[in-house]
Amino acid sequence: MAEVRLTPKFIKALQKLGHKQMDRAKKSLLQFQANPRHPSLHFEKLSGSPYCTIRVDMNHRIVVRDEGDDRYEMVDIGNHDYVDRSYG
Amino acid sequence: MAATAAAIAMDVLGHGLAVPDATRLRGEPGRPPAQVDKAFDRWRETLPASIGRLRQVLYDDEDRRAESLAFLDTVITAVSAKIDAESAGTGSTEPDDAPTATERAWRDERIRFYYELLALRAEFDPEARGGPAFDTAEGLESFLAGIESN
Repeated sequence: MAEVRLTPKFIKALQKLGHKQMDRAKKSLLQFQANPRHPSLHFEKLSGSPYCTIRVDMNHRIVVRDEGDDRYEMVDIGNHDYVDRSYG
Repeated sequence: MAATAAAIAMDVLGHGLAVPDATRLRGEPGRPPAQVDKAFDRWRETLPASIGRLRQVLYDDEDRRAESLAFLDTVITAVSAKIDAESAGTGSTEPDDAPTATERAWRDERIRFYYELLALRAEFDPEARGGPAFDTAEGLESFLAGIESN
């Protein structure tokens, strides 16, 4: 079980989502806490930094900072998702 | 230092905005596919270095950081708008208008660029640090249940 920290910036971004999107984001967070590399999250590492993104739905991804030792900070939510890239 | 920051910021801006988008590629039937693929590969290969240089300048140039971050915010907004416009332009369900593999790959790279910028911005945002932490599903679920839309 990973440690998940919700930053003030992330919580504000979460509150700006509509009800359905927020529910999906909450499900993604719980899934991420149980297994950060679960295939449904389409985990993607960003280049040259401790950041990665995970999928919420076809229009949103959560930006995550990997703090090491299975600890993660949720820092933001973006309003785009990939069309057909492979993840890794 | 300020000139360097501006130059790199413009370089990053160019990466996100000046490269041909899918709809423009579609409007250039005479452009050889190999040329399009080459431009795409070049953009993809140089993106991590550009982001890394901008990150370094933001760390080094403390005096102009606020100004640079404000500019970065405008770049993020512009890139996001470009992705939306591009999606609208390639959203047709007509078989002849369906986006090609190159167009989809190009759009995905621009989205990756968008997330690289969001992460970079968060790195310098004090609001993107701290907050409650949860190491049990019950604790996280209980906290999330109390968050509602604005």
